[in-house]
Amino acid sequence: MRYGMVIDLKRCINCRACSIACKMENVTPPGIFWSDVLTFESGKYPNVKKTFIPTLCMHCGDPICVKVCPTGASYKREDGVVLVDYDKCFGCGYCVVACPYQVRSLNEKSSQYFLSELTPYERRGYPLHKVGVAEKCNFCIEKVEKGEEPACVETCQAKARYFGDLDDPQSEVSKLIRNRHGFQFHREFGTDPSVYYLSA
Amino acid sequence: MKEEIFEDVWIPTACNMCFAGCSLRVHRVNGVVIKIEGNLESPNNLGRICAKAHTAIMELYSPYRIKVPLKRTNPEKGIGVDPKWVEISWDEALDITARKLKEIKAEDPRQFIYQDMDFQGLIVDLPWLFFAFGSPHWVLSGGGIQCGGGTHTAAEQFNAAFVELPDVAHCKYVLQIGSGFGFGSSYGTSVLATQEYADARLERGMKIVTLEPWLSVPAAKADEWIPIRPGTDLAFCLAMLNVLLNDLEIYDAEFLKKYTNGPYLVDKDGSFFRDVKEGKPLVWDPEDEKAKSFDDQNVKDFALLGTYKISDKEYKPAFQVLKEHVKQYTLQWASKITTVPAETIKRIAKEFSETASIGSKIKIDGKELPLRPATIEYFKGAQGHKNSWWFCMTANIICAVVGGIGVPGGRIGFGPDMAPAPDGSMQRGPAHQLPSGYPPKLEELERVYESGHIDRIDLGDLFPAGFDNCQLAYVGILEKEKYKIPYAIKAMLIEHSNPIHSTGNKEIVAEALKKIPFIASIALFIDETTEFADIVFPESHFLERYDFLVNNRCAWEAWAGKYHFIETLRQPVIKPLYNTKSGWEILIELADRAGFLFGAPKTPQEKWINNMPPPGDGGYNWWLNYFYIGDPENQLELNKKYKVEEIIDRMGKSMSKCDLSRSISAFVHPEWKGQDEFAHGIEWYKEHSFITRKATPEEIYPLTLKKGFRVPIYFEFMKKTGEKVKMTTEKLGIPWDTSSYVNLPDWFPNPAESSPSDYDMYIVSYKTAYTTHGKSAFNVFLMEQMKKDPYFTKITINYETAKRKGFKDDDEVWVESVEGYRIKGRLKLSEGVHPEVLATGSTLGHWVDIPDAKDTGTNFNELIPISVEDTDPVSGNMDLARKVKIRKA
Repeated sequence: MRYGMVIDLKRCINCRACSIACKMENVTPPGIFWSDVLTFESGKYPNVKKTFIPTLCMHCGDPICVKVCPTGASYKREDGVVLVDYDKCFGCGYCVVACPYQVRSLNEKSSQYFLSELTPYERRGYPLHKVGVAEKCNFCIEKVEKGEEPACVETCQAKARYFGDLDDPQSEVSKLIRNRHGFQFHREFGTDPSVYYLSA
Repeated sequence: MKEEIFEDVWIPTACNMCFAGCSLRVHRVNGVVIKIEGNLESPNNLGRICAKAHTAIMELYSPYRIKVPLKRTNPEKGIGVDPKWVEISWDEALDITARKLKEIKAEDPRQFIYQDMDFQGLIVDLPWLFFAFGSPHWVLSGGGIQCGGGTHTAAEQFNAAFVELPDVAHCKYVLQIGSGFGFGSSYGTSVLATQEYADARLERGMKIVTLEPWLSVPAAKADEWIPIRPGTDLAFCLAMLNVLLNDLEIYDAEFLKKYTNGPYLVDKDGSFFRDVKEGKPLVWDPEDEKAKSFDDQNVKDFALLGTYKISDKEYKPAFQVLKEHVKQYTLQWASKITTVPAETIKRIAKEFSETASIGSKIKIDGKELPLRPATIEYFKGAQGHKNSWWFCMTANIICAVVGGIGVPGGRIGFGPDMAPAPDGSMQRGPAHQLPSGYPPKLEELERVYESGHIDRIDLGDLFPAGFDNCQLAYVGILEKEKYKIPYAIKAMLIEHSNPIHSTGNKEIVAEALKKIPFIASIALFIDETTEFADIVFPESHFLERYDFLVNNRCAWEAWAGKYHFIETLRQPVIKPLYNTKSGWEILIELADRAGFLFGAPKTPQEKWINNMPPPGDGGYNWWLNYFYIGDPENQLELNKKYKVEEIIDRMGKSMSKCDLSRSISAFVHPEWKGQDEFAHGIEWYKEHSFITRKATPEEIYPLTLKKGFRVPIYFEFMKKTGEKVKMTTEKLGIPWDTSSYVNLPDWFPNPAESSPSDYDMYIVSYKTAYTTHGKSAFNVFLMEQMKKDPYFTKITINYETAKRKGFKDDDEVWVESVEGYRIKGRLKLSEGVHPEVLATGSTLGHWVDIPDAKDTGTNFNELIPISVEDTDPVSGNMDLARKVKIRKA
């Protein structure tokens, strides 16, 4: 069993519903995005392309973040999900720097969206976070364990995201990777991401 | 410490973040809304939602919401002037406003204006405004700016619908012009359309070609981006039409003969040749070699080409006339105007017409239909110009020429409903009572001619073939003498709209607002327009209130994905956090206190016109019964004030029993008429959320299945309508341009083309999937996303142009229009924009004191003059292709 995600860059329309759904599900503090969409421009006018690339923790098979973590806070589960144990993390930030995909954030200081008050929604959600530790996408593991899909997959209005077991050759993700030549970004880093992309 | 969970529920409701009204399920834990998801059972959005829908939580919980009714104490009004609010009770706020309404209703209801931008609420607003109160002034924020004349009138003439869109489920080629429906970049984010487009692109290889001045998301996702000079899409389409008709000679003769007015004989003056007795247009039957009435069952064939001599006079079929007429629009001519290479226009015409596969057929649910899998999709970018009406018609003519109107794969209507017209054209059926310009509203013109004055504050009387020229309301207010408006606006009620920021230049709107002695605003936030209000009604957020019939036919997504009908209940997920009421509750309260909630019409029935008492006669309850509660058992008592929930209960139970001939009742009821299984009370809706059913092929593609209706490729009524407009405006002494009232499409340059040469750049605005529809800037989550976008909050300029002008990335610049209006912003250099164009995100540049919104980005609308001269004189659309110059700030 190895959880993984497939993101179809052809279907993705940069609507950012993934990024916002993630934020709503996980109540991440201002400026912290476990899920994001990057925009790249290439070529010369009028032969120019714009590419939108959704990013999140790659849940690498051989995660550098786990290797550099001095306390064992960053760890990989048997199902391939890479997590941070907030109780063991002391915020050294090694993993944030080491992550070749730059998808980790250090929750440096307590912050909120409105200076004047904490909204009831944030008040309920922020205790799930801890100031002074590293954080990142957890594949919505609590939802997944209930048999649901990660929030970004559930909401994706272009149906560009798929979640499942990479070890099962019959799973939708495995089939998509096979049939549409799914690829991992920056294979040269040698970390074997569990997030695959289908070309635009 | 883990919180003890004493409540954990999911509540179904309907979204209000754009027009689409997607079906939601909202998670409430211990009284707090913590998550919004899509309702998997609903065909409206198939369980998925967009970014905006999620962020409704931050709108709900924003500390900047208005929490109590407010009264202005500073009599001075102006941009940035502190209203000096004081808190007042609901009774006081309602009584003050109701007193004004009562006075005005007694004196002249036309002195009251209602501005709104919520099609989901129009079902309850219109009976209140038009019929119970009696004012004709429904001013739609955005009407005439992005939404409006051209597109609705085209939809009406070609599909007997309010809105048209590609039949994506069967389409293989979409020429997308200034639009982005499947990419969340139209005026709503249709989550369903996004899925449909992605499926079509992936599963059937549907090709998308996008004509757009800048590399927007839709252009970036398209198979091909064709940069075009703003406002010149009409020239592109004219040349494309010429290629089809005169170069490639590809056209669907069978469709043109049976379903268009192409065979109608036209005389030298441009009028149809009609039979003397019945006035029916005649066609030429080449087999019998004689002219026959168009609907003569004995017509063996219809001539489309040639010249025919009848009693010494020459006549040509309209198609022949069109074919000859468009010869002048050569590729070289269009290339010079649009900057699109001639060979590109020709190639697109070829690809389009070949993919249309003229002659191909498809079976859907056992019905054989033509299949024309190539179409044109357009919206604000293309129609937001002074040549709006003719652009829209030309794009539709192209579709008609290949037989791609109202058929699978082509351009189809949302909820089409046709009624026969004597000349064979397609008229709106009873399900479309929002008259968008066809048949032209000549009776309004005649009334103006007779009375010598204009009735509508937005000068709507002078747009018989248009719809939605709402921006001109401010012109009407400011220049009532010039436009012969015999009354002054004495009060205005604004409901969640912000015209001073979203219409055009703010000073113009501000001046108009200052002339209105009393303004009340129903709002969530103190926005720029609410700052001009005398009374502020704090509105309950959509997660705190009831609304019904939110998916009415006028909301774009009403018809879930074109293939299903749906109606949804909006219900509160939590009790109002603050001392607020819903818009509907406020309208009921105002009607009660101003004396127009109760009672039956006083006018005896024999004096009713169109089976309807005159506006202003009969209470709101009576009118709600009249339009929506056809079941006598459920009708509201005429002397009792009801709660919103009780009214919804009765409307729901009457769903299948409405009289569709009753004007706006048909916005919502045709699909449920006579189908009692869809009659449910509010308790049912609270649990099940929505009713839905699949549309039949006849409901989706009526043109070729119902038969007997023809779409125009020749617009004979236009010249005649123009003559009447000319006669009327001349009589009133109003300067008015009638030059675009012609029978055939022609090139009408926008004002930008005659701008002084030192104004050497165009500027355009755009939205994204997560900023669609507006009110995004007051939402912290959306603002955070906008700021992350490399372009949205900046002014994008072509890299080479910037280099030539000596600008670099992030330079702060002034952008100044010909009129002297200016905005300040930061440049973003990009290869993805036409060298003559600046592109900037719309919805930004606010100045009210809401952090993040204040001073982020620029407000494109600032640069837009609001004037008759900058409005399409036919459709009423505002011109948005402006010329500017830039300099370092």
